[in-house]
Amino acid sequence: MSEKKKRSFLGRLQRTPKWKKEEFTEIEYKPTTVKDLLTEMKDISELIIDLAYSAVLFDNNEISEEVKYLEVRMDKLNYDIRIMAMMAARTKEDAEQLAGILQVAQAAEKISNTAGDIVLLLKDKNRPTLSRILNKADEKIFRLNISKNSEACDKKIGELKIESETGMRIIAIRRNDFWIYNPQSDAVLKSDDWLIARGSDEGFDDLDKFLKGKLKVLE
Amino acid sequence: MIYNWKKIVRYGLPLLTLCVLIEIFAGSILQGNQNVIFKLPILLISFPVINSVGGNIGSILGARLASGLHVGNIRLDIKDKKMHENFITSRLLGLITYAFLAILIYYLASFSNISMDIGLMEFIFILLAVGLILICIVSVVSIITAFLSFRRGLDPDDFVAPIVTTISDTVGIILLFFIVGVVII
Repeated sequence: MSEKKKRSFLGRLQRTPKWKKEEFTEIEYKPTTVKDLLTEMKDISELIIDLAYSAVLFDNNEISEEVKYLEVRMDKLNYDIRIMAMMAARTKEDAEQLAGILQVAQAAEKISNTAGDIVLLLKDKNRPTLSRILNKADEKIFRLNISKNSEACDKKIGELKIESETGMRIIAIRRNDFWIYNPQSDAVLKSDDWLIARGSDEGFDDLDKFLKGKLKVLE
Repeated sequence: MIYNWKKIVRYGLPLLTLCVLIEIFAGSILQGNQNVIFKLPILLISFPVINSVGGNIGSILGARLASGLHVGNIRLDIKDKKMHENFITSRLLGLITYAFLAILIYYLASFSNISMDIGLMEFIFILLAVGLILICIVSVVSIITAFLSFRRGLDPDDFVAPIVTTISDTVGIILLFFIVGVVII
């Protein structure tokens, strides 16, 4: 068989996605403990949220396939954990405790279903989705520069009451080459700092004027 | 319901047949040691009690272990803490039951017309020795059967209880003759 033929043959096999194969496997008793199953479900529910957001953020179909696979896997695990819980329950105390565990498992499954719904955004025609959604949001992210003649120079963030006056929250400060992430109220602003801040358009206008020195006081 | 008579017979019969064969072996040991029984008729009262207590304690342990294995709070590990707790609990339970039984049987026997060639302390010692060794063996058997029922998804009630009670009967009879032989001779 030539190399090309082999590749086309293998390509056809791979066209069935991994999640679809998983969906059609049968559910049967496997000796895995309730504890292990719940741990795996917890891990998947953490991972699947990350992956779903990444898939939308990077507009990536491969990651969304993985999300679909994990969603199906989670359904299977939910069945397995129910089977094992029924096998394990012996007394009414057991049943009470296991009912709580099943509730947690059900919640983890719900998380994975929601992550699956997030991934459906990739089917939308006006892609990329994320920038479109972010432009519609009430709170946006802005970049501001502090000029020399601003009142803000050499003052603490807490003193200026930026957040309570303008509604802008400073996420990060860049000073020359280094960054201050999530600055607290005792962080000092210097001239020629770049601020990354989150807030509304109106708040941005006020803060920009203040930092450029056009406004003397924040009100 | 999932259980119908066909299924119960199909799963129950092979195991029960095996158990019956082992029990017959135990019975023949009993028959072979007739002279000891004639010498000490008090043993006749002790046999059913020793065997059933051993079997019950083993079955309880097995059922609890099977549950624990399914949930995952007991692992099949010699160092596992929960496993040790279960082991010690069943041994303690056995110790108390056998001590109580020994005193009860001795006084019951002394009220009826049974020839007594054995002292109370001796009798208690025999029962306790038999009980402790029996429970150790039965516990190991019930751990193995509980693990098997977990691996295969079998019902521990159908599976653990018959095996453990049969083993307990056989080992109990052998042990009692052995220890009586050691103590008396």
